[in-house]
Amino acid sequence: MLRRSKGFAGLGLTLLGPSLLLAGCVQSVGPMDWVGPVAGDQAEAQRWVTWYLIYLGAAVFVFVEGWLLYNIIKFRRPLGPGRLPPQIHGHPTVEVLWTVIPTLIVAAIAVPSVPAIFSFAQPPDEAGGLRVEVLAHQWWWEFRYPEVGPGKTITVANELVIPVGRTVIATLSSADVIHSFWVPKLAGKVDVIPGRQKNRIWFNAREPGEYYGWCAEFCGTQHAQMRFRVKAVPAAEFEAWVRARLSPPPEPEEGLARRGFELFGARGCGGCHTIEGTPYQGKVGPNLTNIGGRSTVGAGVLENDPEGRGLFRWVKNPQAVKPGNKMPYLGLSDEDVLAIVAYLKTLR
Amino acid sequence: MATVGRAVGVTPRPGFWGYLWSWLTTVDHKRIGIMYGVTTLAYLLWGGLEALLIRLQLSRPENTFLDPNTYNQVFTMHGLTMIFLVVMGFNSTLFNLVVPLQIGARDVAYPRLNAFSYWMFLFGSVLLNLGWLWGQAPDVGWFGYAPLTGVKADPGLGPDFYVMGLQALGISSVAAGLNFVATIINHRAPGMSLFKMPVFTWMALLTSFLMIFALPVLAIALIEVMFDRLFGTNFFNPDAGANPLLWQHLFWIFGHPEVYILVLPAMGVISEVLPVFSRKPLFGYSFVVLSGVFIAFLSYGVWAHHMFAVGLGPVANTVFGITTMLIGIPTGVKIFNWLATLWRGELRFKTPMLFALAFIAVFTLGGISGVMHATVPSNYQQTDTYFVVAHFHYVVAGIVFAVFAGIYYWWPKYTNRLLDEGLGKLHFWLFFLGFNLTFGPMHLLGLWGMPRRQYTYPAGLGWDFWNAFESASALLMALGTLVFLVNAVKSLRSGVMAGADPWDGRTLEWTIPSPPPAYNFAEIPAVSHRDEFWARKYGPHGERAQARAASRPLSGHNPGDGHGVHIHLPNPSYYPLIVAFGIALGMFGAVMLRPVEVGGLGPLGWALVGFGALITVFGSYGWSFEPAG
Repeated sequence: MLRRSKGFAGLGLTLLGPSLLLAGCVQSVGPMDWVGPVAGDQAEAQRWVTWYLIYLGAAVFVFVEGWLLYNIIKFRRPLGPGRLPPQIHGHPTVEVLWTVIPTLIVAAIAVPSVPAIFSFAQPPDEAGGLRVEVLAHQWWWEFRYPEVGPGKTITVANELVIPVGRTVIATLSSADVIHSFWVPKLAGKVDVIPGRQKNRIWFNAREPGEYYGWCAEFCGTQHAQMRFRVKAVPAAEFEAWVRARLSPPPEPEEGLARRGFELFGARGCGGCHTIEGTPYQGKVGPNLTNIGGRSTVGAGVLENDPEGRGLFRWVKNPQAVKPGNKMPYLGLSDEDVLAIVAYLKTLR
Repeated sequence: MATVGRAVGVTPRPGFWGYLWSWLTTVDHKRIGIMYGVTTLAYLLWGGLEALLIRLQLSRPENTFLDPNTYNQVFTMHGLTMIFLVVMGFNSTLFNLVVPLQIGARDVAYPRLNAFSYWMFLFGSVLLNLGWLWGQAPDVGWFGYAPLTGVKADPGLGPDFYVMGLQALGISSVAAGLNFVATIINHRAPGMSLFKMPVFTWMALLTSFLMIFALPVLAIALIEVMFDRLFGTNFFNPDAGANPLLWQHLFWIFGHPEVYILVLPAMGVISEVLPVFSRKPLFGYSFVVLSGVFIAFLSYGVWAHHMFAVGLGPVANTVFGITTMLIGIPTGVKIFNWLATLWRGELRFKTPMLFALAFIAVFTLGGISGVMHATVPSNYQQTDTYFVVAHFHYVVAGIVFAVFAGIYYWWPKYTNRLLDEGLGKLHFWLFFLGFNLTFGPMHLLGLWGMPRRQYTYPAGLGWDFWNAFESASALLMALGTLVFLVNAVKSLRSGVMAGADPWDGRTLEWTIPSPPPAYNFAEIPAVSHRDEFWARKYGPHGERAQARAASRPLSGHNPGDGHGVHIHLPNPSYYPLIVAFGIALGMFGAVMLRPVEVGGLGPLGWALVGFGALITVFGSYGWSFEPAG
């Protein structure tokens, strides 16, 4: 079913169809577009089903609206005084006909969807999959890798690094309210529920790349800016990343970064954030051990550019960037912010 | 004049206060319907304003016009207003204005309960909106998913106003549902068997049953949230071991029948308007009615299709996906029967007809996208995107087309004046174009991954153009609505006189004068046909068309027009108003039980609760022992 999609889309191109949608089919509109090219097996199957529905729906649409328009045009003339149109009250045969035909259409939709539903519930590679724990917070994401080494767990925030091609099996839990885990290019949504129900989602990335993730269940003030990225890298690169993450980054010895390291403690940052290998072991906010190497700041809100402008804006006043988020405005001077940013940039 | 009147012992003409008092104490279904209509129209403007604020905020990426907390309040209140106050309000309006006339009754079964329903609706709507005064309107979405409604996640007053406002509106709806079931079952004119009943009345009956059985589920769920918030219970508190999905199950067991509570009356309106303006009977009457019954039953078995992503497992998702798709079948049957009604008819494109045709056009698309949602694999991607927003606007905002069809159609019955056709057509085209250009592109945005309920979005994801386009298009809908208001005022001041039967109607309401006298029917008509009035005019099979064209017999003749006939009508009563006020005051008191720091009164709130309870008890007592008159 997955492989047939390309041929299906090609066939569709030669048939009638809304041209705007076709534009979205052949080239990706953006990183959230899930009816254009996608990168995961689940997303591919879902895309296939959706296009199947779009074409079926278009046929029904054309038929019904066509008949409506036909009636409007054909029967618009007045008959003149003393004449009435035929007083037809109904016709049992056509009633049966237009009960049976929609039933067949529904069956044509329902039957192929059932195997897909079951395939999404069962990871294709249960034993060999990479285990990940997702812990959603208002309004950021925590990711843990529990099986990377004996007794070792890697904890990162807002950017999940995965190896290309390997099935990822994620266990979802929430620290507060209901969220929803969604990476449209890789797989559909699964909700993240607080309490005892731990949902599971599996996905894979066929190609290397950076995929957009988004919280898809309304979760309060900053629901709109609870985003993340999934970075798919080749297996060897993933192994290297794991090794690097298992040894904490060195403490800066001198210069601006050193001052930033000290300020990080003096201004209380370490009370909320963890940086491994340092005294800073706060558990309230995101783990910052690799913040310098991540693509975004503030849960997918700002680009983490090489000059550190994004980090500067965030540390200077997180409430201006993401009003209502749980990191307070600290009133730091520009010099202090620059120092802290210089330190954070060293954490890769 | 008044002195002259007094001098000869005639009752003086009532002044303003007397006039107001007559409305406050009325138990006449027609006046109650008018009050519902005015209230609902006001909320249509209010909810529309909220919609424009949403569109203004989303007109460009990273807009800062609204801050996130305000936006969350606005989109929550937009949904609550449009669903509970506008569409449900219009349903109550039309039930009151039309059902008793269609079944040949003098009033509803319980006129005072009917007044109570209206006052409860009014006070409930005020309670729901009262949070704006604290800057803390409900901000948890119309679905209010736990534990976001818990005090830990939302310590403000928003969820409290949500809980109490909806509870009050629910009381109103259940009372109205009971009333209309009793009315339709018991007060039909002699000879009007169930399958001779007009389709709108049929749909009102089904809707009333749905309200009776669906809203109590919401009531229970709301009481649980209230207890969690006020008294520290743990119905939905995951920290204490609760599964917050319980709320979703309860909410959607209410919430999906609610969707059909919204749409069945609209289908009823369409089934009235199309035959009149096609000059043909409704095609497949019994199939239209029975598919409505089928939809009503099925609506209780599909709730989990709102929850495919919550992890119910593949078996449950498959079952609920299929039951949901099944609803597409009777819906399709209805649409086909409407199309067959038009077929070979003599179509007259008056404004009500235009709105009715547009309802079919947009509802078809809403139905197709609905079946797409029911397909679970696709749903995993579609859910919580703008594709869903597009879908339910094509359905629920599509209902507004039926609402306008109903307004243009029945307006002359109550005002004896026609709405202007030119302005009506302008209204229609502005609204129809604006509607499709606003909600149509949302399908694309959803397929391109734009999530719902977001106060902001970044630039460069392919969403910028269509958002700006939609925001501009929304203005067309607003403009159309303004044209309607102008039309309404113009019609009331100087509209063309309508007479009793301006559309060549088919049902009993067109046999009596416009506006209907207080007693509706001087003599209760005896019914022997479906479309009784049409059969009287043209013969059951149209065989008298020629004769009628020659003679034009008087329509709107109300035999023995009430003079000299004693007709019993219920006395006015102010107790329904008092009881509704007492309940609403007590509920407001319950909101005020919240701590002083968040804007409540703390334990002082009990004083309000007690005061409200006292008024309720007093009012109920007076109500119970009021002389029948």
